[in-house]
Amino acid sequence: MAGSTLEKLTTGMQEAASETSSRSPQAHRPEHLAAIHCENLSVFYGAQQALFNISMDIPRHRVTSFIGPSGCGKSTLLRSFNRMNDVIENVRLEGKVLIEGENIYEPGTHLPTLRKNVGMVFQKSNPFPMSVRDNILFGPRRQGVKNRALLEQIIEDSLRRADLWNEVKDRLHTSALDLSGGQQQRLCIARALANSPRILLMDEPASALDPISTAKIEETIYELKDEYTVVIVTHNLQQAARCSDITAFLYLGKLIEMNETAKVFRNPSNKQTEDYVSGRFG
Amino acid sequence: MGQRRRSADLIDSLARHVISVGGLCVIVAVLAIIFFILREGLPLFYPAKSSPQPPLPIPLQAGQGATSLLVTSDEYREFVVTLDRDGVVRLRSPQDGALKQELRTPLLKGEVLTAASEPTMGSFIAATESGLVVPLRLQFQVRWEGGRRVLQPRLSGGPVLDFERPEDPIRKVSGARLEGGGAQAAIVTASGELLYGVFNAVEEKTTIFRLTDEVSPRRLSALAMSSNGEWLVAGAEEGTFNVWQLEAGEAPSRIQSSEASAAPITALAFLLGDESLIVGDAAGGVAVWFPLRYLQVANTAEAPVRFEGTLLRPGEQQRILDRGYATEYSHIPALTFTTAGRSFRKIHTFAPHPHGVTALAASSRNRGFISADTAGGVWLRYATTESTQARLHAGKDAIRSVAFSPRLDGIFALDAAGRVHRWSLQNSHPDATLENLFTKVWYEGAMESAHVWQSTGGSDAFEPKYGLWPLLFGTFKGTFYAMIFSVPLAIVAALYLSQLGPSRLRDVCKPVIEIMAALPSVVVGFLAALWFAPLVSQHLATALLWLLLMPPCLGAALGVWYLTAKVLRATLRPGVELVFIFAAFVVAFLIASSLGPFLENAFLGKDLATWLFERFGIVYDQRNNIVVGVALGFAVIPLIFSICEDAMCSVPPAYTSAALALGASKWQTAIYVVLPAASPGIFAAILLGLGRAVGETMIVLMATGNTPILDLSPFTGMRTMSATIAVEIPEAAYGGTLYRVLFATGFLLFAITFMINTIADTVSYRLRRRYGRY
Ligand SMILES: Nc1ncnc2c1ncn2[C@@H]1O[C@H](COP(=O)(O)OP(=O)(O)OP(=O)(O)O)[C@@H](O)[C@H]1O
Ligand SMILES: [Mg+2]
Repeated sequence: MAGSTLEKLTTGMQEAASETSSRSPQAHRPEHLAAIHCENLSVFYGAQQALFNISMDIPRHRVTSFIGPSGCGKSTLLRSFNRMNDVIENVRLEGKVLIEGENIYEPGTHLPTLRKNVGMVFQKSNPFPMSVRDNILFGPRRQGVKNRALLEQIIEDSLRRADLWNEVKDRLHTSALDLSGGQQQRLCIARALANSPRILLMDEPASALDPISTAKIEETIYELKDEYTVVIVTHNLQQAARCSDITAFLYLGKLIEMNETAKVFRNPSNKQTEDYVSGRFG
Repeated sequence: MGQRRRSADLIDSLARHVISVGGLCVIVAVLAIIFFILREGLPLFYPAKSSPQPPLPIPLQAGQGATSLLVTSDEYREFVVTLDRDGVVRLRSPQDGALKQELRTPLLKGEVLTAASEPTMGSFIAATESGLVVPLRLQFQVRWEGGRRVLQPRLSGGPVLDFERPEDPIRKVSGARLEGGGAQAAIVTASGELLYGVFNAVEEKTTIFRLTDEVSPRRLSALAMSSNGEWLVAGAEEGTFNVWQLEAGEAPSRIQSSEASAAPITALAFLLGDESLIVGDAAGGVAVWFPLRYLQVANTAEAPVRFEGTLLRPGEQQRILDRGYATEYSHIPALTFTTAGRSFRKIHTFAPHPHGVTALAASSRNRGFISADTAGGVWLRYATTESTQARLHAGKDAIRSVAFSPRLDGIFALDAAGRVHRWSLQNSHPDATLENLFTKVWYEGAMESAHVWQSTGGSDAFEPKYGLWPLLFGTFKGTFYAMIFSVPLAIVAALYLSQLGPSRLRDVCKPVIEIMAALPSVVVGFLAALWFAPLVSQHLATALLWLLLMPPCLGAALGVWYLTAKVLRATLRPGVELVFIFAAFVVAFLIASSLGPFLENAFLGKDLATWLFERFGIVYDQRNNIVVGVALGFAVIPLIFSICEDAMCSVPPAYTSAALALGASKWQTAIYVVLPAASPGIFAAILLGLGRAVGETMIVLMATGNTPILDLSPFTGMRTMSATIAVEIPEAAYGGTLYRVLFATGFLLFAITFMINTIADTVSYRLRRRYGRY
């Protein structure tokens, strides 16, 4: 049983690895700065500590996936990269998070700019009750983009990147709520891309979707890493294996292991990681 | 297990039944209220009902050759009263015409040639063949004998006016009593003389004035003197009439000679109140004329002056209707205004009779009258509404005299063949028709037709004015000012507290604002009327300046706040902006309170209200729209606020997080995401607030001044429907016209609020369907 799972994972990974090598033209770019660097990051919800001294570097133009059992703090960690934790009451944070070298918890950080650069896609698709078009343009408009031609360009580009253009190009003016669940989630991805972020955080973007929609989204993610740094939280180990370059395993608020995806799945250095990826718990 | 399931089912069905019964009760209660309101209001619009009774042939008295000259009745319709040619007043049973009593007076000697009745109950004036004119009065004393009513008639007369023309028989007579026992009368004789006589009770002598020469066409065919003795009108066969203004004992002055009709004028009468002249002609035309005041306007300057759209050359004069121009043009000293007296003008024209008019009779209680024609038509009219309420037929003979019974519950008509026709009449609300509740009406004493609400007046002769338009207007005006004050405040407050402000503040403010709703509106009204209104009127300049300075000051404060945040390179703690906003308020107030009086002193030299009036004619009432807007707004803010706040709080957090994650600031999120998503709730809140403001009573009652005027100015008061109902229902006679008009107003109010709430519901439902698929 365990063996077969492993086998499947490995084949998935091999495919992933081969594809990575064949379509990463930017792999040679110098990367002296990690896209995200965090140091001794601890997050508390009131008295309860959710993350314990996390330190990690997330490289540019890679897909990094966070895996781990439910409640281990993956979403919390992801939210601390664009300060969406601030919205929650009674959150306290210690340590540093540097996005491309800048500590985003420094007082005076302009949150809108930060969040424009670090886009986020939520687990549950949450398009605004507006037209498809207005959804896409929400970010750019808040950023003050006025040029019509540019706005049209943004719509088409981001929808194409999210692999949604062909499905919605004739219904840009209909309500986003009329789209299917998978389309809505891809719309949310397109909406985040419209801001042309540098980093895209995705919290279980495909958890509520059927296999076909999931496959489409995975494809999208895979294509995105050419231009973006992608961090994805997933419960689906195959997904992590298929579309991520680097995998981080979290357990009970601690970073247990972080390494090349192939290594994490094939040859984990930690016993807990091995148990988890082989399906012995979680 | 099964047991438990069964008891759960039982409770379930019980609850269902209780709830449905409760719901049904509410619906039934609402329907019952509507039904009751309609039952009280609808009779207003019922048409006049009349039921004819068979004509009463009055038998010619053997040997006396008596024919009746005029007909009337007593208050209880127990007798039909006729004044006959032989000078006898005969009382007959209205059932069978049996003669009940004959009343004589020694003052009437010889044959009575003509007579006229005054609208005041039981008064006639009779002219005899010997040239005497005798005012008569028939009174009834009511006694109760063994539970039965017994009417004791008494005929009195005098003083006698002797026109000393036994050789020239009197054809027409009209007269009026004067205070202190005097009397005056006018006659038209067979030879066409028009004479006016006054009997002075102190000197006991009659002074006669001959007016014949003042009449251009001499063939006079109708005569009427108003019962207050102010007007004498003589109509001629040429269709003209002449009016004299009478000053007891002095020579009458003719003030008007007008072309009234192409046909001979055959009947003239004054309506109750002596301010309206009814003119009937031989072609069947019936019209009511009002004496209107005129002004003489002259340009005393060297240059032409523009006046009411025309250019008045220097020295030029113009005679115009007095529409209050003297005050309106008081700022142009070149124009001088002098009163130019009054003259009658045709105001209401009624549906014409197919035959010539022969007789008119005015009601002694309202503005109703009867016109009768040569072919037995007896038409019931109402002057205020310019309507014909009933067309009655009395055989084929010409009608000689008509009369209302004193209580307006019957009509009597005497035809040329000596028969008396009777109708009993039910016409309780002639002065309010659906049309004239909402259209402009030309009321007596007014210079033009207008929407007026004035339900009660000083005298019995008052003409009630039931124009609902000013009340509707006042209601919406008050509501409008309340809404422009409260809606922005409530929405901004709700948005700030629910989205932007610190949550601690929200926990304090929300209950406080909601407690505001529990403040009795009478307290709000009281404070507004007795504290706020005087305060504002004393410091009008300061108040207005403050209002004006608020937006720039707020803008400046927010700018400073923003810059501070930038300079400190730190996100200020939420809630700090409140300090800036508060500072803006204080600064604006300080500037306004020092600048206001200073500006008034430096530039106006007087206080703003006086200056506005003197310079622009803008009236400043102490209880005005600003006060009402604030007070009423204060009452609706809690409602709007709490519904808006709830709506904004229930906007799914997924939307706000999505917006924030897309780099929108908190403000942008609030405005671009929360506002649209909460719009159904906000819209419902506004409309519910509107409904509340429309129906609000105590505050508007106390703070509006209750003046039913049509004027959009924020400095004047108003009168709302709700306040009118509250003020006037206690003094409205049960079942009376005012009572029913107030119920109709209540129904209108109900319909308006019902409509607003329905719109609120449907639109917010639509919006929710559009935005609300969370
Ligand atoms: N808003 C919150 N308030 C209080 N505690 C929270 C909040 N959000 C998360 N937590 C707690 O923090 C811990 C980590 O939660 P987090 O949502 O990051 O887990 P997760 O790894 O994303 O789990 P899942 O895979 O189920 O999404 C949990 O113990 C959770 O109870
Ligand atoms: Mg999670």
